[in-house]
Amino acid sequence: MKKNTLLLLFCCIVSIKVLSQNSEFKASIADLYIPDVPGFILSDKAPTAVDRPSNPRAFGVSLLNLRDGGAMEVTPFLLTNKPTYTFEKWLKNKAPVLETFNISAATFKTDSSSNLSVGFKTQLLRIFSKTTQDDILARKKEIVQLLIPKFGPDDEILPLTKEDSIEAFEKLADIEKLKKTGYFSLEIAGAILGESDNNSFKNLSSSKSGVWVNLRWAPSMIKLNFTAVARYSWANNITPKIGKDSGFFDAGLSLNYERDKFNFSAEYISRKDFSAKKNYDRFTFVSNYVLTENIVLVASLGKNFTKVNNIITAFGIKLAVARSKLSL
Amino acid sequence: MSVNKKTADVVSVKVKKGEIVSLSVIIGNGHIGSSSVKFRFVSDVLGQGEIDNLLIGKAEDIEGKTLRVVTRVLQANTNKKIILTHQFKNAVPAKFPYNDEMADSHDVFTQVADYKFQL
Repeated sequence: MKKNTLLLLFCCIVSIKVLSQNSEFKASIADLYIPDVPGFILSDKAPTAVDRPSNPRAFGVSLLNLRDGGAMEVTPFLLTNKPTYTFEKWLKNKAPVLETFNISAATFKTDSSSNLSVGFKTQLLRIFSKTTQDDILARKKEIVQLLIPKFGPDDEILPLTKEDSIEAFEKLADIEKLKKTGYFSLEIAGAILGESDNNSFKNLSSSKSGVWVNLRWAPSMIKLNFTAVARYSWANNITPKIGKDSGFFDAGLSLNYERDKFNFSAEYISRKDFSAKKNYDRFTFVSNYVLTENIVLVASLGKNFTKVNNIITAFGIKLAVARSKLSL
Repeated sequence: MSVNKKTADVVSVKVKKGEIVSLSVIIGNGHIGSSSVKFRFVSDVLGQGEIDNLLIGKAEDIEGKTLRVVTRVLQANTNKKIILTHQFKNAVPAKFPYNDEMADSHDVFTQVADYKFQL
């Protein structure tokens, strides 16, 4: 406790004002990632209930419900059974465009308008490295061994033991972790928001649109991963305001490295704001080192390239004590 | 975790004298599965694990016998639907698809199917 207090005091004394950010541009790489449900993003609404139909009939019902206001997301590939689509085919499929194609839609009405927001996302490329493929198949083989049905002396089928079941799900969890290393992927998404100035969806006109592209590379040999993101968003038929309603293009690059007790992230983002006719750039670096279970040493460094901030106020280093790891 | 088990009625399968019958088990929807194949009330297991073109026997040797195929499936992705196919070579009908839906992602599905061979 005494050690923690002293360290906290030390940090308070030495900390310098960190990373003066431009209030108009605080986007981080995480903000530029393809959203889970692109159809809901442009409308700035977070629907409380989202229909996720799992068969064609439920999909039809969800579509009808949209007319009265609501939200839905569906991956058409999952609506019907695929008897010959094996685990190996999934793993070796380098262009899972159809398999991952997802549509999202939301409708809502205000006192003066009706809105329909529709979006899609899909993976154009997803290539696992040979090492990752071998590791995933090795885990799969172990699961197969654990699941083998066994018979009793009277020819009865013995139930799967709790131990085998737990181990099988642990191996499955390993596969989920392996899916996040040793791969290269390219994802795209798009969304459009339509608005009408009455209580009907008949005369909708496009008010906002956006497209996203994500490129990720996570080599299996080193614990580094690279992400490149781009987003173009624009407003139609409305008077744009600076910020979320304006038309802008974001492009960013990030680099992450993670070990058991140490990680760092670096990112660079460039934004071109068409409405404000301004360009912004941002660079940040964050590193965490776990000293003890409760103490994480954090160092962050940043620089804004705007004309307003000079280099002294834009640079900073922060040391902090936290109960959990901080990230970008 | 719960185990959903389904047992199908015994199905008659026609085989031709002189032909060799084999079996494959295909687990669809990208899931992971494992099977055991044996004749009923015989202790020897013909095959277990992934079943691909498993030799069942000559038609005249297996006539009148009942083959039990037990398949367990674990949901390996977000799709809760299960589809598995028992596919015979040199038998009619050749394909036996079974489908179900998991209630929970931590369920294990078990399909039990019996096939009686007739000339």
